[in-house]
Amino acid sequence: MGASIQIDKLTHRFHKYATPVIRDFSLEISAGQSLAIIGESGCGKSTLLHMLAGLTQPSGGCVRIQDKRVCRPHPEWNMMFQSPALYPWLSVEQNVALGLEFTGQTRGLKARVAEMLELVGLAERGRARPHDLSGGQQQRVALARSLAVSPEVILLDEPFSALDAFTRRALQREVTQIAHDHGITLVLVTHDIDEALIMADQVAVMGRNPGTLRSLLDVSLAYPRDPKEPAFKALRDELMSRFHDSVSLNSAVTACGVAADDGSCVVSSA
Amino acid sequence: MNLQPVSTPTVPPWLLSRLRDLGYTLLGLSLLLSVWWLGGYLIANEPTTQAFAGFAPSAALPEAWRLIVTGVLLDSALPSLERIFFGLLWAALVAVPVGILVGVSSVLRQITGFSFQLLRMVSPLAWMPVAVLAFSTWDGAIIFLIFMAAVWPILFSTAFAVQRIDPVYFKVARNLGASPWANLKRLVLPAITPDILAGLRLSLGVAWIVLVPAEYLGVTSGLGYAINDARDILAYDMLAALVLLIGVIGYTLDAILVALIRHFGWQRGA
Ligand SMILES: Nc1ncnc2c1ncn2[C@@H]1O[C@H](COP(=O)(O)OP(=O)(O)OP(=O)(O)O)[C@@H](O)[C@H]1O
Ligand SMILES: [Mg+2]
Repeated sequence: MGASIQIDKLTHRFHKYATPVIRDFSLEISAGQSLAIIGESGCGKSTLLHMLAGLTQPSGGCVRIQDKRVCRPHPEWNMMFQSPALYPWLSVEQNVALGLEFTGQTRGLKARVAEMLELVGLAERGRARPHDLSGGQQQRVALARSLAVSPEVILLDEPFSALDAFTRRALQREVTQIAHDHGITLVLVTHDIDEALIMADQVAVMGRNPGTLRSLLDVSLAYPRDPKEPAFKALRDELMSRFHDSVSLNSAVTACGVAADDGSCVVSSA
Repeated sequence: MNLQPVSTPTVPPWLLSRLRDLGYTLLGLSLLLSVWWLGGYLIANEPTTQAFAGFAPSAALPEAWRLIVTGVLLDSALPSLERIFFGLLWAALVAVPVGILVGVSSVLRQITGFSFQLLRMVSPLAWMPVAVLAFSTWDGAIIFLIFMAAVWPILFSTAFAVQRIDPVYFKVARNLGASPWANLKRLVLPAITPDILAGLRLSLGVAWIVLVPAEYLGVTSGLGYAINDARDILAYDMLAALVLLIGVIGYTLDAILVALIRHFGWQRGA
């Protein structure tokens, strides 16, 4: 049920002699927990997530999922992207079945696909073509496709940012609920502070140049969370100030040209 | 007083637009026919060109009908269609795999780029002497010429289509554990099918143009041969009829491919 993730001194450069995009990033996420990552645009969040998924090989350090070293992509740690990335030449059902087909789990495939579509509330739309669905429905299908292979970890890279506010809120709740029910570990990259606080047990704030972990905030609120609650609002203010600190720190660092990667940069909580 | 609106029988809008399209097509055809008729009239009334009066529609149209009902057309067209079929088949068998490789590998693209562009610009008919030397049968030589005409459009559109596949589709496939074979079958081939067919359509156009002069070569069958033969026996009505019928057959083949493209075309909202 779920898997823990150990990120150990992860470093990445896109070119051999370039300054690293991410440097010495270490973090542990326990099984079934959810972590949100926020940070300025270009600080390396997507790169980090790609390394967790095994889609990008880090230049240094390593990622372990349930003590297995991540060397390549695997259906058990599954990534969802900003675009649903459904194959337009396949029906919704066939899209959901892809992972099962690729991994040779063809027995009971039909039933599994139906179950997944039921879970995301699209039981009726199996025969439809992806482009006949709304953006939110497409992202639901992508979720069903990820869930079909029974992943231990789901990595989400701004998966709802292209959706309208209502659909986004609904999907945030649904994904959180499903992850809890199945004990799936979630790592979520987002630009939306409320999204981070609605979905995550912990929020990591990243700084940039190079991408490092600046601070970590525990969100100890009961699910489902309500953005109108005072405790939520307090956490939002706290997160905002940490985020701004990390941004101003970045500009200070960029201004004097010093790469700040040591502990002194971490903004302590109020 | 009765205030209810009187319902007038109306023509549905789609039917109206269809009728208008048909009207324009018919108008264009009758313009073409008038020009043809006028040309024939001028030729027939000019003493020096009177011998060519068979070109006029009044002679050529009945002759075309005769060619159709007596089966003469079929006897000429079948060998031609067979050559076209094999020429296009070989072209596709070579161009699709090579196109995929060139599309996938930028190194291969650089190695082949200049040579392919160069070869592409050579008129297929310029290969005629080579074809005659290299092939022991006339049929082989003609199929080779058609191949040389047809291979490039398919190759280039395949290579281009592969490059245009959304990279996130590949990430999804890798993440869900797709083998290279599954990648090809489920992702690459379906993604590029519409473009392969579009390339095939272009190829058919060139191949059909190259066919007639290619059949002036030693063969004793086919539409090109029939035209040459009609000229030799001064049967100008038959010559004009064959020109017309070559156009009609070519148009029909193209229409079949358009229907195929529509059937397999997932891109354009199929
Ligand atoms: N393939 C690549 N080659 C070279 N540099 C890259 C590559 N991909 C990303 N980068 C650089 O790495 C840095 C981090 O990129 P990344 O996409 O991880 O940022 P991000 O935090 O996800 O940004 P955003 O919030 O805008 O999505 C950026 O400065 C970007 O320019
Ligand atoms: Mg990103």
